[in-house]
Amino acid sequence: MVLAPDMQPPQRKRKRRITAAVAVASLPLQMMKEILCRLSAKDVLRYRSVCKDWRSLIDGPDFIATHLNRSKLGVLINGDDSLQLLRIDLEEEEVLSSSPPERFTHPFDQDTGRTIAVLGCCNGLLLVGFSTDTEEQGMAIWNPSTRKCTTLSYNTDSIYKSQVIGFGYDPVNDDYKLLTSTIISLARGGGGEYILELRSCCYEYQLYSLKAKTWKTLDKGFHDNYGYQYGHALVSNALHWIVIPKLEQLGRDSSPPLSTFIFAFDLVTETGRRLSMPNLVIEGEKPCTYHRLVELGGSLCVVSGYRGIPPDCHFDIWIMKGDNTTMPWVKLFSLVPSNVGTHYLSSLLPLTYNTTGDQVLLAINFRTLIVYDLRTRTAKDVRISGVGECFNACMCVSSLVNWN
Amino acid sequence: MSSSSTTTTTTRLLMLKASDGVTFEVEEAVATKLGAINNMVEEEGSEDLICLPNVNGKFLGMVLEWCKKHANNNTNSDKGNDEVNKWWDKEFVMDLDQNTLYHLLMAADYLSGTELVDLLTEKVASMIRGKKVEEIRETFKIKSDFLPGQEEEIRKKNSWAFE
Repeated sequence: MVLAPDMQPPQRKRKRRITAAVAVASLPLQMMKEILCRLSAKDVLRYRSVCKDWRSLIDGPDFIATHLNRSKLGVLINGDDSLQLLRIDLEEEEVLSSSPPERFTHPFDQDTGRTIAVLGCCNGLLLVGFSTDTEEQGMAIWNPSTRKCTTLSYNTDSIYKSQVIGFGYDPVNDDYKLLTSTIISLARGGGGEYILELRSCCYEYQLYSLKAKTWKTLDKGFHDNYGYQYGHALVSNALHWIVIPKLEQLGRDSSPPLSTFIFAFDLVTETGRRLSMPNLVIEGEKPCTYHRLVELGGSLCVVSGYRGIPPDCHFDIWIMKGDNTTMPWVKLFSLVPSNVGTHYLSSLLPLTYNTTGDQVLLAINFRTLIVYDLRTRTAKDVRISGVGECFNACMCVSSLVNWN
Repeated sequence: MSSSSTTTTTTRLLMLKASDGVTFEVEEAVATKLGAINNMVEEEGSEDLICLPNVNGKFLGMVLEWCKKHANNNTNSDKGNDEVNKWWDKEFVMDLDQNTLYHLLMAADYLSGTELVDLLTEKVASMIRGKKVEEIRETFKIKSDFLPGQEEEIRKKNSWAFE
């Protein structure tokens, strides 16, 4: 911390006495920064109008970065017609009595009837997709805490559908980047006919830079597989997604079936590499019917579900412990529907865990949020209100992060 | 601070002299909770008397009270102690008036008591959450230096934050 100019460093031997003449209630700006960076985005944006010094302090990149680092992760809950950030402190004895959620106003006029889906989330910025019955689908980068919103459109000549893979931050170039894929040609069937089969099409990959406001097409042969319907995870500035090999490769009798893998796209170097998946094949059991790739506590996490009627139904949660080891995947825990107070599990999304690692926050079946205790194998419901029947959840912070 | 300092049999005492001449005799392990003092002690051949010309005795006393509590509880750190410290910190800042709080904060910053600065800045932050701009100016004795109309323009940009 910088000392105010009227302060001297402590002296070992007293040379002269300086009577501190600090005016009551006047704190140096550096100290004000330490205080203001603890406030909500709304408070800070209001206090921009206190005086010129405060305005330039608050608008500065240094303050925005400090404020972001201080921000605590919350659970962003995207319900039918509301978006809220819920603070849940798993370290506290009474996790459920959290402070009231921060409710965000949608970036578009309510009467346009646009619904939004959160496609990516990084440093308080959301990549949202929106659609209406009448309007073509589009997307926007939106900071719900500052209400800044910029709409984007896909950059492609293809007549086929484009899709967002993910969105994240490149700290080296201080840039936010968005990765999309677009079908550029359909697959041919045995009789030469074209088939719209997602796993057999050819794709083009495009990367958008929020700083440069430009798109670029990534090298052909970047990779030609499909699988990001299983979600993406942003870990160590790289987007990760599960890749299922192309159908025709799977069908060949002579070659052994190609296994699924994880593709990691580094947002700084803009290069990709393969990572292994955990071993999801269990002897004598039905194959895994549910995959999900998420970020959990800064690590890559795979959820594999063996859906069925109990007792056959169970879910495994795997975590990657450093990717250089020969056995990078560790099974964190397994659970059956009764552990989480339900008869049927169709989806399970781990969100965060506490420091001792025995309490995990889980979103279950897009309908409930629970704190699961790994030791007692029991769950507690987290009460959330005003989200409607179904919701999506992800971890998110509130920030002042800005762009031009 | 190394953990070995707690095992030495002879505890070194330091004399801290405040701006108003008030002196405090404290154990080294207590005073070195303050980064500025720690740096001086680590220097070779340091004196036992340290003059602090920018801190008044009243506030130095309070800073040292905080150090003492946290130095004691650091010797055997477990979760129970964390709880005790948290509770003690809460009590420590609870009834501080604004004037004391500011002087204490300046003293803690001057002495590089990082944890104490954290505690005090959080306390000030909790006092100014959700306030009106006018209340903030009043609290920090700040006069608006915007040109006529300029402030209105700034408010307009984020008018929702004023609702």
